[in-house]
Amino acid sequence: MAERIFAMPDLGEGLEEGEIVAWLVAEGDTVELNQPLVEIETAKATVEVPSPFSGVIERLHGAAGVVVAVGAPLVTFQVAGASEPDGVATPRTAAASPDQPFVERRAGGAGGAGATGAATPPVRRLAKDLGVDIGTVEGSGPGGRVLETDVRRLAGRAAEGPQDAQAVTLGEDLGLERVEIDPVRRAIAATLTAQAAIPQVTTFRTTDCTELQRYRKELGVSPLPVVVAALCRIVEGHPLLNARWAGDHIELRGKVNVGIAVDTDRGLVVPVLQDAARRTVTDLAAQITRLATGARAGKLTLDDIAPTPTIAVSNTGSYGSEAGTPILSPGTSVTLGLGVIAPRALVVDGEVQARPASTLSLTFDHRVVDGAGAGAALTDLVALLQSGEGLRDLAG
Amino acid sequence: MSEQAPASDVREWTLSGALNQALRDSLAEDPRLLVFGEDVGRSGGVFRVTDGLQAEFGPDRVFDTPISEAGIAGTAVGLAFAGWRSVIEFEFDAFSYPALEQVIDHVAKMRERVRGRVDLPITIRIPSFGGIRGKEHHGESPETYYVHTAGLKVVVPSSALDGYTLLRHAIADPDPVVILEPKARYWSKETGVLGDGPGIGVGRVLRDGDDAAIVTYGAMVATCLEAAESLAGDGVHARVVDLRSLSPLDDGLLATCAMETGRIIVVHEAPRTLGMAAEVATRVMELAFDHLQAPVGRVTGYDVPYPPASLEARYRPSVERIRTAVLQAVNY
Amino acid sequence: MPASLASGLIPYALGVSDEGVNVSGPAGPPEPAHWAGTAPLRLVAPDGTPVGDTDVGLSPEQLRDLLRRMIVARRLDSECIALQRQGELTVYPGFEGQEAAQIGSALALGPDDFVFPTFRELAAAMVRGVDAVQYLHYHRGTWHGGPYDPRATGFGPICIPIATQIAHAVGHALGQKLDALDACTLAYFGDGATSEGDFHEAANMAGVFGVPLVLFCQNNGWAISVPATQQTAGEIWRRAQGYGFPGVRVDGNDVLAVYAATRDAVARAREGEGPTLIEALTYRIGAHSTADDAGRYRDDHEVDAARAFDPIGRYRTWLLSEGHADQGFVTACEQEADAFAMEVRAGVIATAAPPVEWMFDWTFAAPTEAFQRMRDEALGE
Repeated sequence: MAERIFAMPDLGEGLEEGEIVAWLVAEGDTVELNQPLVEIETAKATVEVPSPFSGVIERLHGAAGVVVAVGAPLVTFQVAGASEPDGVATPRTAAASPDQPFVERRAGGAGGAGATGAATPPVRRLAKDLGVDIGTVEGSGPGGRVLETDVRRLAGRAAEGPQDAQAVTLGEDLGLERVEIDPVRRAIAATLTAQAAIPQVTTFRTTDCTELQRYRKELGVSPLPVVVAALCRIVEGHPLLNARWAGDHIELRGKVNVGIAVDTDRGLVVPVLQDAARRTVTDLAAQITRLATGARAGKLTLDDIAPTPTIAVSNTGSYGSEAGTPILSPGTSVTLGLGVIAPRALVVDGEVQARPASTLSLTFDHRVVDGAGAGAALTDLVALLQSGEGLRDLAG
Repeated sequence: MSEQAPASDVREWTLSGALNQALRDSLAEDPRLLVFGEDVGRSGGVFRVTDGLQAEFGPDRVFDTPISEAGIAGTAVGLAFAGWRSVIEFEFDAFSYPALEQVIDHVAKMRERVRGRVDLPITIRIPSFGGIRGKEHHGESPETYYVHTAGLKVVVPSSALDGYTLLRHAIADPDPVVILEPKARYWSKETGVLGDGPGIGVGRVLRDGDDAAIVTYGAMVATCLEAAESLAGDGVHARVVDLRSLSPLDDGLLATCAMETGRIIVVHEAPRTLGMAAEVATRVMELAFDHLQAPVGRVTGYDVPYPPASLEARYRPSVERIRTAVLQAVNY
Repeated sequence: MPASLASGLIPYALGVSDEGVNVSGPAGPPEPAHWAGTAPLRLVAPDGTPVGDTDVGLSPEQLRDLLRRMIVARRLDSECIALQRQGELTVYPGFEGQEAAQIGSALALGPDDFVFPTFRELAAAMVRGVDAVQYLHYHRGTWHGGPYDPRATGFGPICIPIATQIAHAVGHALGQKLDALDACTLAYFGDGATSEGDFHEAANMAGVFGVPLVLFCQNNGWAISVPATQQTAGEIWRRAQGYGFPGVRVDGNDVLAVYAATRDAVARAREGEGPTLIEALTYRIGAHSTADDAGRYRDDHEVDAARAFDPIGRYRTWLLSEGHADQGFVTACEQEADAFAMEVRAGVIATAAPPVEWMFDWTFAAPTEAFQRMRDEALGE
């Protein structure tokens, strides 16, 4: 004997269910093929359903009054033999629909429009081919539409024309092209121009970063937060580093707010790491990461940019610079530049050794700090950075 | 007109005459071809397209029927079961509608229904489109109904020589083909030799140009050529494409035009919504999206019932409307 | 025009009254309402007694075959309804009560003749040699129209759009005439179909072209829920006169009368005398289809009354009383019918959906490139 389940059939053109009106057989009954089994009421009619098998009724799935969904078990039979030539395996529901659900394409696939406008398909294609994120392109076409020239400009390539050798031209035609500037760049330019008026001088010192690297790796941070912490410690003994020229006096600041210079697409941004002197190196590291990421994403808060920096640090080593002349941030008298930490030939105990080393560049407002003072501060800073013991003394 | 110079000579043909010759040549080649419909036998058709055929081939092969469009279409189906090939005519575009049930339910579906055991080699000729200042129901563009019916092929000639080619292909096709003949062009003339040419599913470029491509068919081809000539005077070089076949469309040609010009303008008399321009625009987008320099333009009839003769010229796409659309695309 | 044609009647050797006469007599059961009017050609009365010349040119073996076929057909019909109730068929339109109309007429056709049916002619289909399981593909939803070969069986595909097949029959008959074949075409249709424009156009064209066509109307009294008395005000057979050819009214539940009338119409057609319209009065015992609840519009008493005019009962009585068969033969037919029903049941249940490629394989004899591309894309090739 084999068990066969008879499911509720679709009794008329797309019905979804039927109500059992009355059973014409009972569990345990032996029935014959086509013997009336049950009366089912549908939305259209009351219908007598004949048995699809000859066999024994094992189970009736539902009493009179119960509504059974099409496809749900109605009667379980025990039929003779493993496979019955007559009867029904699993009754089909209404003719299967071959329709797949239609999945709507989402509009705007590969490229959102530029910040202000859209772009025609060939321009999108070009941007894609040149590796330009069209969402960052300012469009100069009608309605802010991004044009091919906009894309090419951003990609930094010549507008048109073959790249191979051209004939040399003489004369006044310089191949001029006007590049528009946005307000952010305009503002930064104004600030920098004002800053250029301050008498500032830069002094340099090479630092053996062996201890620095060892210490910072122990903490699992980059060198910059360690340098910031060291600088804050030095400021305690050299308060003029954390001061500003106030016209008719010099203003010392007790709190140390470190401006961290970050290069972004829109220009130089200097978010402020507040009360740096009281933070641990780990905390400084977290803050620096947050500020740098936020600056690049254009997502700094007012708390990050509103406070006045009292001193500034510029990690010029991050783009490979060995030494530089960092510009003073407004309202400060000192900016420390950290050059790239890379192996150099240093003289240690009379011998030339390859050591990780960096050049520190200290720009200072000469009205506030003089050369000797700057030099002394740098000496102490370098000594601290080169001292394993000293570094570990910094609040970790 | 059957006592003309042999069809193999170079001579001037009207579209009506070329179609007449196509029927004549097909009747001569295939003894199991029948031509029937209203007024096609004794009088030779209201546009003379069947002129002289009954006299030449006899009333058993070329005959008139009662006014029974559905009956005519159904008879063609039954004849196919008996192994006969038919060319039937619905006298004017709107008069094909009574037969739509037979065409959609049976002509288009019968072969699939009987799993290929019976072919339906039926050609349905329908004088179509406007431009003859006709009465109501004599200027319709019914192509969408037929193109949208799976199982049919649909062609539209625009000139005499190509009309011969298309009708010959349609008749020879073992499948049902609807040929919509632009009645406004029945008396247009073309000089040349009637012969074989591209078959169903192939379009043709009638005028070259790389600034934009005007895609059209039927009576509008002549108007588009005029517009292109006018645009050339303004330095805009528009390509003119005669689709010839609406189902299937020549996807390859559409893709090429889109890639080479980036600007497609579709012109048809039929009302805008769900006219052929909608399908062509979508195909072009699917095939050549990245090459489009402007949105696909449509110059079409309006979504109103076809107007009376006095307003017809304001309804059908004009040279001016086509020019404007092309220039819009070029200046996008 | 011969007088008989002018009056619209095929000349028969028996007297047919133009007055409405209830042949079973005033004391008999009431006839179905749509049978009223001109008395139909009848050879065997509802009670099985002969009332006309029952020598229609069939041998005793052929006469027995008529009964056998009707018994088998009815048994199959009820099995199909059961199969639908068990979910094996989607929707099934039954023909119970119309066995004589279909079998009697189909048996009058020869192998070169052709039939264009509606969707209810399973009994006629089997006479023409169509395999029942193949026919039932239509109702199983595995194919439209049935996969049987219309040219091999002389039986066209199932036609759903009402009356449209009649025009096909006209065309086919015209083709036969042009080929001067000794053959004819028969179109089946119901009372409802005679209201469709396609019936009129086809019948008119049949008359104008003088084609070898038998227009066979099974007036079973119902077009789904609309009774024939509301379908048309006139008598269907009389319309033939308007089209210029003879019409005849026949008792569609009298298989011998049906056979005789069709035989004569076929002969006329083959002899080039043109079309004939036969109105066969019958009764649709079952609902329009398994999706229909006839109780909503039709009284059960009416159906019971109609059973008094059942084709199988009366013919069996006549056949046995004439001595052409005995009860043993009837029992054998019933057993054969049961076995056949089981065979068809098994065949239906074993019928599976066709390969999806078939959706594309027969649309065109000459598929275009574009069509092939669509096919390949759809099939993921």
